[in-house]
Amino acid sequence: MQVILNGAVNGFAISFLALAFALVYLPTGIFFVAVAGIFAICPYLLKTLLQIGLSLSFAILGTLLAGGAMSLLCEILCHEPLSRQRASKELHLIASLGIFMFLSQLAATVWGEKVQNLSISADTFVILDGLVVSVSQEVIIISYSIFMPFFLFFLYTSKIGLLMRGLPGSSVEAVALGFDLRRVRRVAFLISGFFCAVGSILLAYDRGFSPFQSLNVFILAVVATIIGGNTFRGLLLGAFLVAIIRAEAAWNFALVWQDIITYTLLVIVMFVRQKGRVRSGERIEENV
Amino acid sequence: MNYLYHLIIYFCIFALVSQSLNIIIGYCGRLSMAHASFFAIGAYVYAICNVIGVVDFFFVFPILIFVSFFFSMLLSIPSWTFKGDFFVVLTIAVQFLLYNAIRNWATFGEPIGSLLNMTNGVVGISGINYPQVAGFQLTTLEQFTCFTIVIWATTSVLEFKVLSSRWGSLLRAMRDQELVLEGLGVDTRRLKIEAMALACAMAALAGALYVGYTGFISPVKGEIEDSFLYLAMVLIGGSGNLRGSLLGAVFFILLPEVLKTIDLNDALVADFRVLLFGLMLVIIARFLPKGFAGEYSIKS
Repeated sequence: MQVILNGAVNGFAISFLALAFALVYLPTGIFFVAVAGIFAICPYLLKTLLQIGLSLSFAILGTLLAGGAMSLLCEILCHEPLSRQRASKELHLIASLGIFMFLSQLAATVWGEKVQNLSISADTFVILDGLVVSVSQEVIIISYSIFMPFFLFFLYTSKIGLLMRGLPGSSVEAVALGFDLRRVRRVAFLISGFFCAVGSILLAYDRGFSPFQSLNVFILAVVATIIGGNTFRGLLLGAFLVAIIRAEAAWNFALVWQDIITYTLLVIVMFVRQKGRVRSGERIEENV
Repeated sequence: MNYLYHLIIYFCIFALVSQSLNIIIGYCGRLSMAHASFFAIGAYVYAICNVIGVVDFFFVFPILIFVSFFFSMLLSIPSWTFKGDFFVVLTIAVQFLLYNAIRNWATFGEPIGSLLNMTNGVVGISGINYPQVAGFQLTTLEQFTCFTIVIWATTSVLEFKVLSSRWGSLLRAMRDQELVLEGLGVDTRRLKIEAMALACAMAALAGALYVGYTGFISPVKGEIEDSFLYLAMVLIGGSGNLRGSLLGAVFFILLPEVLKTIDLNDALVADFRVLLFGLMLVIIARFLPKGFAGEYSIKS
């Protein structure tokens, strides 16, 4: 049970980054690798804001706003002009990869490559029914419980949320019906950066941070999205599945098997069912 | 003078990497994030052959080709079904799987190259010598430089001939209009297998030259960050022709040298190289999708 709990909590944390990736990927088709760069830089921003004397709440707020702003800038300066030029998805991917390389290396150059921590003391824990839960895990669970219901409420009740869910494969129809796609995209990027910053702070608080570990977490987020079937609800399930499988693999076999099992599962899912395990509505012509 | 030899050797090695990745990007129309793992595979094959006593390059070379062909199927089979983002994700999965295999195929105390300890894990393999060529042992840097230049030049000429032939035309046609080519009865699956095998063999050859020069290999050379750098090298120079990939290799080698002239230490030079490559990728995607000297513009 402890292993499952640990896996579930990791799944909560990965969900934030998976959501950050999917918020851009699903409506726009852009493989938003740059979110890994934003993920790398946010803990350093938080630590710097704390070091210059800001209170914890203002520092966190500042980091969340910075995450959203960086993501929005990626859209305004890079992806929006590329979309206007009718650039292919590969070009968007290349540009996003360039932004990731720049941001992660910037973090390494300015703040160093060593693993750092947000807390200065050892983590404390409580024991609930025989299960050990650390304070950082409690923070992750509480954050997930607050943010995710709000986001799902926004996604399923607001007009922009409806557009975000409906855009995959229907962008031409959306434009023809007079929807402002530019606004939807910018909101998607902004919320993506916000969730990326949340996930980044939570994981940094739980296990420390360095500039180059963001890519591994990002890949897990992509795996979660694909396994979840390229839907918002599915990726939350996918994140849990991935995290619990990884926890079980580490417990039952060895740590080295985590990545091997994860990527083998990804390859199998992609070959067997491209849209992942959670079925989403398909248009007939998509299969032609 | 030794430093000039060093630059020439590195240029030949990374020109081979660039040219090999150019086959996948510029001629097959696929983005691959797994190239560093094939480079590492070639390096480890050479290193293991060296350790177990197979030192003549003419014996190592066929082993290199066979192993790289085997692993290239991990790219060519997915390319039958996937393109665009899905192919990229699969190459990332292949990269991580191969990297983990290289990093973890080790058992302390077992001889290197044995089934239990093929790669010696994170410790890596050291003490690798220059190759023998038809019984003649290379001993000096000058000899190894000449050998590297000959290998690179021969491979480049062969690659140019092959890509200028009907087969190369079929590759370009497959890149641009795969469905039409299939309709004309061309076996595109076999084309992809052949192209990926050629590309991975060239990358493995570059890895073998690299480890022959440095004398040491560790799993670090197979990390995905190196794949990103190789991808950037090809895209910045340009894909779809030979001059673009050579320009990318020149840029890859000379950029750190230019940075050193402004009194940056080696660690900062490496950091700035990645920073500049990242920035250039964004500029290339926005303004120069063909790169500086390429023919092929990345498109779906």
